[in-house]
Amino acid sequence: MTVNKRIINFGKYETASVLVNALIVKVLLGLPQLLCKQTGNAAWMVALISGLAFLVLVLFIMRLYKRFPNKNIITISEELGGSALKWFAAVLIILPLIFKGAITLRLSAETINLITPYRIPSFLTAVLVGIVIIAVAYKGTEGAVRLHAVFVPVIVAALILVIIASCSSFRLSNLFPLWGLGEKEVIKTSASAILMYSDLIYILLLYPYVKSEKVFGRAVGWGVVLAVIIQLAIVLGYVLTTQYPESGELFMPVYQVSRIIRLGDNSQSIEAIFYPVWISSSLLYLTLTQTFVVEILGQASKTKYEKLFIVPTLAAMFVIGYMPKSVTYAMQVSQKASPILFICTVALPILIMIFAYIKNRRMPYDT
Amino acid sequence: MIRRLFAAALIALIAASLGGCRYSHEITEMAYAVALGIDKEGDDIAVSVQFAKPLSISGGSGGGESSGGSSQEGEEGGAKNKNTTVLTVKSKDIFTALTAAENNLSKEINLSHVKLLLFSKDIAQDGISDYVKQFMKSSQFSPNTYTAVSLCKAEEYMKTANPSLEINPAKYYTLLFSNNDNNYMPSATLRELYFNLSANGEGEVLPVANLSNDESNEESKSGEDGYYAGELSVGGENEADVSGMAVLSGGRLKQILSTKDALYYHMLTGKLREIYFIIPSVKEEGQHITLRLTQGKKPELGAEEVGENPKLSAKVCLNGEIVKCPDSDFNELGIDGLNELASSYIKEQLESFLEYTKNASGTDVTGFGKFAKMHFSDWCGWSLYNWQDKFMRAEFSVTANVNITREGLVYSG
Repeated sequence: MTVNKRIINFGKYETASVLVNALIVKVLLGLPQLLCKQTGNAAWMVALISGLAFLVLVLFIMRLYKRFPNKNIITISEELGGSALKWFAAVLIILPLIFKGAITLRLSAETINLITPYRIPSFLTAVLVGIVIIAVAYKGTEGAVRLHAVFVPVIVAALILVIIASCSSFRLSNLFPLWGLGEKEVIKTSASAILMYSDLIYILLLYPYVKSEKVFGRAVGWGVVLAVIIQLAIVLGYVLTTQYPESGELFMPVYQVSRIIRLGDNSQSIEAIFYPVWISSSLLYLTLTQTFVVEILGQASKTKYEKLFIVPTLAAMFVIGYMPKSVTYAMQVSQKASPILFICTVALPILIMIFAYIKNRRMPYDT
Repeated sequence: MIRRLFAAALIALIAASLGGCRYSHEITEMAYAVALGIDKEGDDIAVSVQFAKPLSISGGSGGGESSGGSSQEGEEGGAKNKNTTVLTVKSKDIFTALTAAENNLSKEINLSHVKLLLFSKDIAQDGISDYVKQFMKSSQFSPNTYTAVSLCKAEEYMKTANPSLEINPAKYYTLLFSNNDNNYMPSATLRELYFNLSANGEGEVLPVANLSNDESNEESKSGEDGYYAGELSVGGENEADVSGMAVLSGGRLKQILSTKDALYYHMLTGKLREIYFIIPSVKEEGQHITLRLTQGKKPELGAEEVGENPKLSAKVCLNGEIVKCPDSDFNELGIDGLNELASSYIKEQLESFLEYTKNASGTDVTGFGKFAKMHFSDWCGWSLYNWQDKFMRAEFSVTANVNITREGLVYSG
């Protein structure tokens, strides 16, 4: 059974926007600092290697996907193992999505509170974010994706501006010693960095909404390549402006880079650009997460009243998000959970697709 | 219809809650700090905050006579700049001092416009690493805030600084410390200082501030000799002086260098602006040659070998214009001879600068370490090499190329 498509037909642009934001939101928050902490100034190599490995993984998934046109992972699971496997896959995908959404909700509220001069309690910020999420979720997948199409180009343009404007602070000597904390660390961290790409799940959920197989292939290609390039540029920019060991200590790397930009004597607070970028990016990510959790629940339970799930899932995000005692602890929990998230959202769906592929390989293509 | 009404009510509720004044920050309710100084007071520190007086700056009624600074004890300070006021609080910590200062004021202290962080000599000798980390941790301070060491008390400097050509104190500090055209002092922002404190390959240098003291300083220097902060007799209303540079190692003050040293530092690091440079005449005793020098291209620093005795090289290319040259020098040496004379003189001076800073402070102020670390594949090897130790045994090889391209508007010396 394919998901109810209504009249939604996303093109290449919308689909690519969703993938770009889903993949770069973690870079805005703390990935460059984390990579620098683990590999020193060779963090850019890790971003490059893991990015290339991710592209290979996406190519593999897209090859598998040729057998399942217009189907998302829940539909494929149902076809392979019936209702039991469908629910199994749905639960194992929903839980990590809620968890990631919860952590992003907490971090976005806390960081907004931290970097702005206003002393608004972070919980109040989270409530305001929650209201926006509910409003978008009621508009469904179309609302969330169309918002991406509008705001992601603005976010990307702002990030490019930050990187270009910080060029004058680049120091090539920051790249040396070339292998940072050592070749072994670079290889080890590159392998573990792939685990952070659990947002790849959105590729497996978006397919039924895209116009055609050809458009989907192109959108995934553009989105993923662009996201990897942006990620590499941000990490490289951070390494070039911030020398090790300090590069492993600074909170919110993109914000820190934007703080050093000075465009003449009159433009000395370019970091202000980071507030809307970070707020928009995290909000888009949260709305997307919320929408797809509701969508999966609706599809798995085959109900017409899927919107009833909006408030309970958001409540679950709030409860989980505010469980960790501090922002740092929330980030640590998120980092430690990344292997489990990767297994649930990437490894498991790939396994399901492989089995489904084997089962269907003698069958003609479903057109 | 009901849904629309509900949506409208919800929007009105949100709008009403966001429009509250609970978290408002009115400009008129803020005290804008433009400089912050730290002095040593026994076991504690004295934090001096210089506030701008916006009404006075804008020419409003808040100006008037010098209001002076006030300390927590209620003492009237002697701020010479009527556009600012200085408040000093003694405490164990910077931020508790600021809280105490805020209690003393009728307004909330805003630190986002602080342009200068001034550490007194005593504080710098004890170490400034902890303070720098505190400033960097706080989102209230910009990483582009300028930093300096004061040979006098930081509080005194801030009270005395009286720019006669600039009304806005924040602009004054920005222009003075951003080093746009100043070859006699380095420029160091909070962020650069924070990085260099732990960088294993580049020393920390800060500009030096002091009060010009003509009465006690009988041997006041002239500009071209090279002088230390406070030594130059400039006259005028502003008795505050910023010149020369302070060399720190591991966050502690090691050496104070003169303006001449700062000039050579700029030549080696590629930060040299246009400068009038004096070379002693070789043909006429007591006479000198004046050249207007600019950086021809970026200096090439390098570490040729990184063994027990690292071999470090520097190649400096300068473009020159003859401003003054005795006829005998000009006629006998010609342009080529003058190029050679200037090159060898500058080479000698640069080598002597490098040896002097190496021996006196043991700090790699020029940043040769950045090039030495390129010989290592990872941080482990670089850390084990111990650059700080090896740098003390380094041998320098300096090449200076002066290329006189212009002779001015008259064909003679």
